[in-house]
This record gives sequence, C-alpha cells and structure tokens, in this order.
Amino acid sequence: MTSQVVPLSTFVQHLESCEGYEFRTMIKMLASPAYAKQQLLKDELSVFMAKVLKLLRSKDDYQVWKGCHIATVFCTYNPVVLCSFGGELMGILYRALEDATKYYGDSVQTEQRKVMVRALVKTLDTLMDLIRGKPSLTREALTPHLSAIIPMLISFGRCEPNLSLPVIKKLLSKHSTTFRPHVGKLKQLLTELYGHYQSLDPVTRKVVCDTAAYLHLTQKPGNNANEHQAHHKSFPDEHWRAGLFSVLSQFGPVVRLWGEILDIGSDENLARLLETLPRDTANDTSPLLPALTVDINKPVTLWHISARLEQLTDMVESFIRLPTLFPTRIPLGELVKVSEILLSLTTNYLPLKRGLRRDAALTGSIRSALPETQLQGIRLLRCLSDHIGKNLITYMPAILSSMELFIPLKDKKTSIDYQKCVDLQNGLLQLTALMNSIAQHLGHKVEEMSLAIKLVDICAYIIEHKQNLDSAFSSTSGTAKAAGGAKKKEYKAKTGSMSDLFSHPHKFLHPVPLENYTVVNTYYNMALTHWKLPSTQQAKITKYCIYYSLSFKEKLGYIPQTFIELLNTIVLFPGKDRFSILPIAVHLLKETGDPVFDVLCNPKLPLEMIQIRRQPTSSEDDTATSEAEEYAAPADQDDEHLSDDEHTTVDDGVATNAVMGLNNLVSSETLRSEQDSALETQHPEQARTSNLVPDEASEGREDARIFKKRSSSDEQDPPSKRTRAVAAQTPVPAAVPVDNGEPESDDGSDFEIPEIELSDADEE
Amino acid sequence: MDEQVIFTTAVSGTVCQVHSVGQANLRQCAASTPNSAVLMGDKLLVAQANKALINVYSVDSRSKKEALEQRLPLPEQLSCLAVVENHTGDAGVHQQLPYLLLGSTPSGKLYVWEAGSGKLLTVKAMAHYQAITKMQAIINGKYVVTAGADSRLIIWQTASLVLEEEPKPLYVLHDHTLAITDFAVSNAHNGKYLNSKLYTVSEDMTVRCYQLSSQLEQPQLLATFTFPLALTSIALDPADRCLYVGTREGAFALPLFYKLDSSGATLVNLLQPGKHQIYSIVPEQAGVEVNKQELYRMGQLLCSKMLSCHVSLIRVSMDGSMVLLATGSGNCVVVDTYSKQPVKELAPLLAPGTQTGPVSNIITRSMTVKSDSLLQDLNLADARATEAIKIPALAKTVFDKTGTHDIIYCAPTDTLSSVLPRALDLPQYLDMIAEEDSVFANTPVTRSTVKVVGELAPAKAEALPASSAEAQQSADDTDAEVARLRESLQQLTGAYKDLRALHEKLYEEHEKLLQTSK
Repeated sequence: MTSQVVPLSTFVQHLESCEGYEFRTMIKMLASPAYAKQQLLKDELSVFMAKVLKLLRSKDDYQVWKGCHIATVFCTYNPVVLCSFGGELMGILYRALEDATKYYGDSVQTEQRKVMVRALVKTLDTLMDLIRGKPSLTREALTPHLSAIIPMLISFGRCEPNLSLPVIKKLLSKHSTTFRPHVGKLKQLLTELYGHYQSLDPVTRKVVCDTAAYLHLTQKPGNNANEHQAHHKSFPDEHWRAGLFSVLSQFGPVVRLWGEILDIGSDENLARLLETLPRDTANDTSPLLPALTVDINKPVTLWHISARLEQLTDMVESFIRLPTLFPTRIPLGELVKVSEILLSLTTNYLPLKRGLRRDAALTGSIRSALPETQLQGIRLLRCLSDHIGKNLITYMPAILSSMELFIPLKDKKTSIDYQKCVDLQNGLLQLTALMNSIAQHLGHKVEEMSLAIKLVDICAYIIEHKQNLDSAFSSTSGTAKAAGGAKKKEYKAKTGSMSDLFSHPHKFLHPVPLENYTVVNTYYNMALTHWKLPSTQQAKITKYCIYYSLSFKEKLGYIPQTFIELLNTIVLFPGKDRFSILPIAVHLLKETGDPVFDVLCNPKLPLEMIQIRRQPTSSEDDTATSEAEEYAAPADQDDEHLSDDEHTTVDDGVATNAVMGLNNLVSSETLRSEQDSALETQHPEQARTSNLVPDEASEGREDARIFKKRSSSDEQDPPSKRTRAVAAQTPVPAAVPVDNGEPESDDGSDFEIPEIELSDADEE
Repeated sequence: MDEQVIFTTAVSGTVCQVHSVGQANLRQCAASTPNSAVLMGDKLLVAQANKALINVYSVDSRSKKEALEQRLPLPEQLSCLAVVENHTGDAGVHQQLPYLLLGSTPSGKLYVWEAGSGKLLTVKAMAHYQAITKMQAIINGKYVVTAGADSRLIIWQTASLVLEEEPKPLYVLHDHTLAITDFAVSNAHNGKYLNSKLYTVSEDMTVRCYQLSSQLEQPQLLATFTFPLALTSIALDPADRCLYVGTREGAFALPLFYKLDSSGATLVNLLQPGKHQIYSIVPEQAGVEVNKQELYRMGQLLCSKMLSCHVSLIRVSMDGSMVLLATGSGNCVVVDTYSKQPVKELAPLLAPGTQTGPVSNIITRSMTVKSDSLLQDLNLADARATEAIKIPALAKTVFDKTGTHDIIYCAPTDTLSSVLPRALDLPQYLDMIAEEDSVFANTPVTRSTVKVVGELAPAKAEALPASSAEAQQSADDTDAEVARLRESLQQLTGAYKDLRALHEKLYEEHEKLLQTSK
C-alpha cells in the first residue's frame, strides 16, 4: 500500500467509535481505488471486513447503519471487496433485515430504527445491483439468497411499501423466473395496497402500478400447455398484453357510471365509442381493485369515480412506460379511444340526465369531478405522445377535437368561461403541455386552428390572473348590504380581520410558479413558429413576453431562459403585422447578451455578395478602409489607419466601404453601410452625402431611412448584367431576421472568414 | 469510431467501413433503382428489383450477419423507399422502429405504411406522373420531399400524407425541364420549423437551390447552376460549405463560398437570398490559368473535377473531408475532398467478371465500433431485445382506423441505471449520510451551536442510549464505581477487623473469667 493513504488498520480501530464528520471522511476515503488491491486481501482487508460484518451483526441500530453505508460505498468502489465478501455481506444483510422487519409492523418504531431499516434495504438493493450481471458472483452470492429475500421483502411491503416495492420491482424485471413462486403473495400485497391507493404518496403509487405491470413478466404457468400450437410463434408479450387489456377493460364500467348522471345517449358518437370499449377478458392475473362505492345521495362519493379513473390511468401508464425485454404491442386505437371518451365527459355538450335531482351539492360535485375525469384523458394522451410519438398522427383530428372539450364553456354558449378556467388552471396547463408535445409532430399547415387560438387566450388569462380577490371583495360588500343596522355589530366582529384584505390586497396574492411560465412560454414558442396567428393573439403574446421579461428582470435581476427563447421567437417570427420587437428585445437583454440577437445584429456569414478577407500583413490598408469604418466601428480599437480623406478613396472607385464584419456593434449600422456600399458604387456623389448623415437616428427613423434608400436605389438601378456582380444585395431591414439558418457554423475550414471587409472589389 | 458504408448494386449488397477493413456481403440482395434501400435503426430494407418484395438485413456493428433476416411481401414492386423517423422530441426517446415507411412504384404511386404496425395508411396514386427517384423526410419527419422523373419536386406535410385521403402537396416545384435525379436538403436545421435549403439536380444539366421556409408562400429559388453534362446525383457538405455533383463523366465540387482569386482572399456567397442567380459551371483544366474574376463577371464558375467516370451516387463522410463516389461499375471510391485524389476503393466481393451495373444505393452512417468479444459486451440483454423486434408484415389494404391498432414498441431502458450499473454520486451520498446521522444524533434538548466537549458527552449519553458514547461513558462510570466500592470495601473490612479484634479480646476475657470462676 502506498504511504499516501491511511492504512485500513487505522480505520479498524475507529470503526466502532467514529461518528459524524469522522465517519463521513472515512466513507469518502474508502471510495479511493487505492484500497482495491488484492495484496490487501490477506491481512488488512479481511480484518477490516470482519469489523464491518461485526457492525452489521450488532444489536445497536447506529452500528448497523454505519455498517450499511460502509458496505455500500466499499463494494461500489472496490471490486476486490465485492468479489470476496459480496456473498457474506448479502447473507448478513438479509438476516439483519429480517430481524429488523420481523415485528416491524407490530410495534412503534423510532425514527432511528426507520433510518436503519431504510439503510439496510438500500444497501441490499445496491449490493444486488452490483452483483447482478457478474456470472459466478450471481451464482454464488445472489441466487441462493433470492428465494429468501423475496418473501421477506413482500411481507415487509405491508409496512413500508415505498421501501420494499422498488426493490421488488427490480427483482421482478431482472429475475422473473426466480420470482414466479412468490407471485401469489405479491398479488395479495398489491391488492391490499390498491385498497388504500389514494392514501399512498405519489411515488409509491407509481411503484405500485409498475410492480403490478411487471407482475406480467412472470410467465403464466401452463402457457405452453398446447404443445401442437407451439409452432405458431406466439408473441412474447401475450401475458403483458392481457394485463394491459384487463386494465383497459375496467375503464368501461367506471365510465358507464357517469352514464347514470350524464345523458350520454345524446351524443351518438360517444355512446358508440363506449360500446366498443374492451370487455373484461377474465383470464388475467392482475391484482383486484376494491369495489367502488358511489351513492348519488352522498354526492361526495362521486369523486371516487375520478379517483378510480386516476388509478386506472396510472396503471395503463405503467404498461406503456416500463421497459421490457421484449417488444410490446401497444393497442393505440383502444388507448386513444379511452382518452377520447374520458375527454368527452363534460357538461359543455352533454346535458345532465333528466330525472336527476338538481341541488347544489350534487351538481357541484358533478361539475368538480368531471374535469378530473377529463384530466385523466389528457394524462393518457400525454403519455402516449411522449412514448409513441408520431404514431398518434393517425388519430390527430379526433385527439385535437376531444382536447378542445376540456376548455370550459359558458352555459349554453360557445364562448370560453374564463372564470372556470381559473379553477381548472392546473388542468389547462397540462392541456397546454400536451399540445406542446403533440404539435411537434405536425407541420405548419393545420386546418383547424380554433384550439390553438383558444389556448393562447386561456394561457394569457391564467398567467395574468391575480387570485380571486375580486370575488372576495364583492362577497363582503354583498354581506355588508344584506346586514341590517341591528346586525352591524356582529358583522363588524366577523370582518374585523378583513381590513388587511382592503389595505394590503397584494399580500394575499400567490406567486405563479415558474413552471407555469415555462409551459406557457413553450406553447407560445411553438404556436409562433408553427402557425400564423391572428394579430390579436400575436400582440397578446408580444405584450405578455415583454411585460413579464421586464418584470422578472426587475424582481430577479435576470430574465428566465424560457422568456429569452420567447423573445427570440417573437423577433424571428413577427407574424402578419411584421412589427418587430428587435430593439426592445436587444434592450432587455443588453446586460447578458444573447447569441441569437448577436448573430441577427452582427451577421457573421457574408451577407454581401463579395467578401474580401483581410490580410493581416497587408500594405494596402489606406485604400481598403474608408469612412464607413469610422461609422461602423466607432469603438473599434483596431489599429488599422482610418482614412482621413474619404473623397480620394471614393474617387478611386475601389472598394470604398468596409465594415469590420466581426467587430461592428450595431445592426443598423451594418445594414446601413451595406446599403451605402450598394448605393455608393452606383452613385458615388449621392452616397457620399448620405454616408455623412450622422448616426444619432432612432430605430424608427433608421428603418424609415433604409427603406427610403432602397426605394431610391431600386428606381435608379438599371437592370444590367453588371449589377449582379456589384454588391447589390437586397437590403434587409433591421427588423427582418436573417433567413440563413446556420450562421454560427465555424468549422475551421478554409471557408472560414476571420475578419471580413465588405466590399465590391471587382469594380477595379 | 468509424463510418459504415452500405452499398448495393443490381446483384450485390456490401457492408464495409471507410477506415477499417472487413466486409460483409448481403445475400440475395438485388436493388436496381436508386434509393431503393433504407435503414431502419440497425435493419437494412432493400426493395428487390423485379419483385414485389423487401429484403430485411441486420447490419449492426456487433453481428456481421450476411443472411436475410426477414422478407416483407408487397402489394406491388417498389422502386424507391424512405422512412420517416419517430423522434419523440425532448424526452430523447429513441425508438427501434421509425414512424412511416414510404415506398413508391415505378409508375409514381406512393404507399405510406406505418412501420410500427405494418398498416397501410395511404396510397396516393399519381403522386408523381412518372417514377419517384428519391424521397426524404426532413425537419424531424414533419415534411416529406419527393422528387420524380416527371421533373417535379413535391414537399408534403407528413400529417396530411397520413390523414387525408387525397393528400394535397404543400409545395410543388417544377422549374426543371427533365427528370430530377437527386436532391439534397441542408443538414443544418432547427428541428422545429421549416427553414432550410434544398438543392435539386436534374438531367436538364442544372442544379437549383431553393430556400424553404414556413414563412414563405412558396420555396424561393436562390440560384441555378448549369453544368455541361446531365447530372446524376448530389451531396452536400455537412456544414453546407460545398456541393458535390455527380455526372456521367465525373463529379464536381462546387464551393458555395466561391473564391474569386487563387489566394482565397475574396469570397462570394453564391446563394443570395432574394435574387435568382444563374451561373454556368466551367470544368477546371489542369495547367490552364484562368482569371476567375473575369469568368465570374460573365456568370461562370470554375469547378474542380473529382473523378472521371460515371458517378451514380455521392455521399460525404461525417467530417466532410472525404467523399464517397459510387460509380457506374459497381464500386465506391473514397476521394479526399481537399486533394481530390482517390484514397480507397470499396468493391463488392463477387466472382471476377460479374456485371454489377451501377451502384444503386449508398448509405453511410458513423458509429462507435463495438467490441467483437461477447465477454466485453455491456448490453447483451439490450441487444437481444432489439433483435427480437421484427418488422410487422406490410398490409395490402388501407387501414380503416378502427380496431386495436397495435403498435410494436420497445420502451427504452432507463439508460442511467442500465449502462452504468451503479452510478453512486459520492458527494450526494455523503450528504444523505449526514442527514441520516442527524436522526441518530438528534436530541430533544436544544443545543447551542458552540459545542463544549465536556458538556456534549453527558448530553449525548442521555440522548443516545444506543450510541457508542454510552459504552465509553459506562466504562468511565465503572472505574469510578470500582474505586468507590473498593474504598467502601476497605472501610467495611477495616471496621470488621476492628470489631473482630474487639470480639476476640472480649471472648478471651470471657474465657479467662470462666476458667478463674471454675
């Protein structure tokens, strides 16, 4: 062992007593590859590992906990330890975990014990991960223990599903054959967990669904019973698919519950879709869902329907999302159908059933539960779009029209109910995110734009909406009016604390989370680049972007990245009005700068017809420079001599106008000088005067001037063959973006132009 | 890292590399029309000449399989194939099967299959009035470009190709007067919206360059280059610096930033937006000095020639430094772009004297070379999973959009957990340890931030019944206890001795008294 590292024997002495920083430092050092040496195996390492094993055997939680972390880190970074002590560690960890979990559920657990158990499970998991895939180690260390570990983990799953289920899930996917005898037990556990599904935390919920899906990796016993059918090569995913279909078949009965409340018959299309939903195949091994209790006399129980649909959606998502060893067949048609049905369940177009009692509690519950149901449709589509991608295009018209159903409408009208939009804020943002995901598969010509435009309006409204203070105000004033003089005292007592609401209303506002802005900005970005929006929406987006960029700049000191992207997009896609916000955008970002605007304002690719590459050792410096360079790069510290006498250069008829392509500062100047060069070559006298126009012009004036010049040049430009060679490039107004898509392609080739002078050299 | 080259002729199919040796001959491969082979992930699909059949080969770097893997029967013979990839965007999910498989018949009929399900989504009869020569999906598969022998080039929206019964083209370009033989679309695009350059070559001896943009009503013709020969093929430098144009008598390299003098100090951007320029190309003659500026003024460009044989197809290597020219005699010549000299020749392994005809397809792709050793293969399981994917049989009737519509899909394995077995982030792990440690060290007593060692120890002893401090503490305690006990023992022993001595004395006196009384 080299003298640089602390010998393991030192650790041995302190192993039991160390804690806190000492322990952490030791862990950090153990990660060093210096200890991964076989010579160590004989003496120091075995002593050290014996100590670690003693720690793990200890009755003291803290010692076991320490042992776990040492084992994790040492095995991860030290292949020698993993190979020589992996099996022993596995055995001890399993026993420790079994002891710890035996009476886990029966007695009250201290925080310390929970931490210790978590460390044990994590270490066991890590160790199994490390061992897996190494053939002899797996054979000797892992396989013998698995049959004991699996039932222990399953029974522990009753107490701490969030700890044991991820490990079980992994074991299921990697050792599906070994797992087969324990499938029944696991199914029982999952059925129990399904019973209180909604009280699990979201991560555990996801793992529960994943585990239930992976349950289908274990081959159904007796699958190959029909021997003479064996030559018909069955798909490897038969069992998996049966599981997915059994989940899909459960959508039907739940959705039909809504049929008791909504008049589904009024929409023939929906009724037909509902009829064709997959039926229960009854030959599946999925864990059972508990029965659903819905009582129309207890309106709150209606929420159970959406909760159940959420659970079913989670389960379907698992089947789509999880990686499997074999390719799976995803029934896209059925999945889209289900999401379409879920999204159609809305009171926008479906009336409530005639015989239904109309009281506030019932209709309120219905109206609150329906969007939640629809939301599941959106989630399902989102999942499909993220995973299946373009294959959804086949169903795009149906998907887009059913997505539109989520947008709340005013009763018996077709206009958007913005008040409801605020309540559905989260759902609408999810809808927008789905739109972002879907639209990337479509081109820019879309027949149906109504959803796109509606979403622009809704996003703007949601983001700008400031808490429903207005309703609070109105309700208080309402009660104030209702309260008579006699009750005034009581009213005062009631509203004593309301004064804050009037004096400091802004203190009651909740900040909009930055993620919401991200979703909205992504959508706007997409909408601007893909479609030609009407002017109203274009202006709305522009205003929104500038306002919030500025306000974020004031509040945070910087502009969030998505706003920068949106500014870029608005500049590049000015819409029908061709109104550019380039100056505003550049101004907003002048502190930080932005590569896109840099390229827009200081084009690096030759825009001119003919470029002269500056020779660093040239002697023709006087003739090549001109007064334009004084203009173009006033701050330029280049040591090239500036010509004092511009008249001589012009009279020479040589290249008169040169711009330091890479160093010039302001776009308008570039453009102007290009423009001038074009002009100058044709009408030197006129150009000279125009060149002398000072540079103080505002942006607006600048543009106007450029346009004016172009018109003059157009008039005076005779269409001769000669002008083609002349630098008569169509002037690009400062606002219009460069069409060239790849201005930054610096590739070190011989085409690279380090410093450019724009000129029309062939005039000589 | 290497670049794989796959090229086919009417009688052979060859898989080889640019920079290393080793070659595989695909069996039963016969492709006579250009662009009749296409890659689907690691699978090569070749539309067979004179048969309504597609042969599928596996051409991944791991297995060097030459045998046919799958046969896909077709409703009729196809002459041109293309795929529309299915990149699902931000998630970075890479699917094994692409979205669409496009095939066109010699009569110009366009078939659109969904690769994941094999369903026939659209059949567009008379998409072109003559055979389609090349199809390509651009901008992440949002658009499809088709060029035909009817001298038209059509740009379709993928969505409308799939959805509409009679798909309407987005743009139709008919500037050429004879068959369009090949086209190239700039590789550099933003991936989101249409904004790219398109170069077409035709038998009418011209190359035309268009600006494609979703902002424009119609693609804008930027420049036309006229050549002295009918053109067969085109390839574009990866960074759009140069055009390589193939003819029946060699290939031309046309730099798009054209040097006006030999030193390269004066450059011209040949593709000016907003202006349609016409240039004619003059082949460079060795040893003849010409005034390039003078020529340029007359609208002529001097172009260097690369090989003087029939060039049927051109591809540019990944770094742009080499050009692969597929020749009319059935082999490929690798030419250095700078010196214009041939570097290597790739030829199919055939019996001498076999007439191959021109190379019909050439596909290049760069790849990391994986170890041949099975022992060192990291992702054997993954490899097995990919191999299991079979391309579903291609349907012969148009899909009616009902039923389950099964898509074959292989969810990607979580790359982080599968590629790196355990990427333990040590700093983060140490933070977790510290956090957990605090649970053990947690005490109900509020502790000040300044810890005095003497004070801390008893506090810990209270709070940590199970900690190591207790052992230490108890050891100390025992010592004190022993000392105390020893002390008391001594006291007691002393007292006992005194008492005993007293008792002895008294007893002696008593004995004496008894004796005296006797």
